[in-house]
Amino acid sequence: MILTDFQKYAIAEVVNIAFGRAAASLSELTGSRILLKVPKVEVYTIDQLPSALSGILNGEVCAAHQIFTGQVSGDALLILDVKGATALTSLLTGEEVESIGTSAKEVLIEVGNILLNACLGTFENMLQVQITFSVPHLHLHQLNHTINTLRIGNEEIKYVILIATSFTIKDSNIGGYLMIVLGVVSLDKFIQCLNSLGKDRLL
Amino acid sequence: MENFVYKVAILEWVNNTFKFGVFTTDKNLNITSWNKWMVVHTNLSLSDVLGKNIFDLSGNLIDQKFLRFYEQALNGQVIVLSHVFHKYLISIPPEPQFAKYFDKMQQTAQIAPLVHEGKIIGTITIIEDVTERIVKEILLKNEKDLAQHYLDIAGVIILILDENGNIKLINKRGCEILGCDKQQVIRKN
Repeated sequence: MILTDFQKYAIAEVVNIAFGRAAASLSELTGSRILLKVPKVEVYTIDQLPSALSGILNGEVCAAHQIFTGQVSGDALLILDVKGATALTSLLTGEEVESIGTSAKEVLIEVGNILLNACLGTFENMLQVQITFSVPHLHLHQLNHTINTLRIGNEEIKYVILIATSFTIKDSNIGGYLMIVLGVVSLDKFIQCLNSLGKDRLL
Repeated sequence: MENFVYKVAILEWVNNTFKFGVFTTDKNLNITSWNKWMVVHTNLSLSDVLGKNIFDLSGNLIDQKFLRFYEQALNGQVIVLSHVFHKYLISIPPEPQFAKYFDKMQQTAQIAPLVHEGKIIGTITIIEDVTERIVKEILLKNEKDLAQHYLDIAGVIILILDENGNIKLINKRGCEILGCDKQQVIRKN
């Protein structure tokens, strides 16, 4: 499924709004100014994802994962490589973090939760759909294992809206990916809602 | 009928045996249930708190700053509050053996909407006491810092490598001799 330029722009704009809110919450939480940028939005099938991410995300990754259900349902994940996750935790807490221990996992879950709630909440409001959220979890696995867990479920073809983003904290940039995984029915509904937004609400 | 019995049994277990604090509220944030963990740790019985607003409990148990998270939960979002950023949700003392480290129990909490037949009827809060874990982390860090201190006063390079030959630890003298920052060499092969 290929998104039109307008649809990609609309997703990026909605995510920008959401990230503005998330950045404000994170800044308040940590006492440091945090900026979030949304450089790129792409859509892949879940089978295309490993090759799309190869060379960018490799090996073990940290994924804050939240399932959402309702008129549009799927999985939302914030994915960082381990080095990025460790650096992000250090910057957010102001303490030198060398590995992803239990407390670091809690930090990443809360940060992921803030980001994913902001995004899904903004989608919910702007697209006028109702969504119920699950409790977030943090997975620390090989990227392929994380992707495979998203395949579990019905046989429906799954698509991934991949949003490359970066956190800017104290002059450091940390790149990550926000993934919204939708079945074909939910993606179709999502795109219909995007189209109904109209350019006048976004431009 | 059998299904109903199991639901009641699960609720009884959460109420009496669960190792986490659990309480629920209605949409006005007035308390509707309060499990045994909450009774034991707050010294407030169910009758003391039932129907009261969570921000009006005796001893200012929950600070007003958490209101926005409850508002988010009433809008359908699940909220996670880690001890790293918030320290605690309910202001209660820790177990006596941890009192020399913290004056309040360190907690991680989840606040979620309580949904019945597709409608949000209130909130549910789950509280985990993480004080013991945090104390162990502090003690471990203290030991590590002490070991690092001994390494740093040594006059020779000391490196610790992992099984793949990546540098896990380097002392101060090592950084001076190599002319680099510690962070530049950690995890490098």
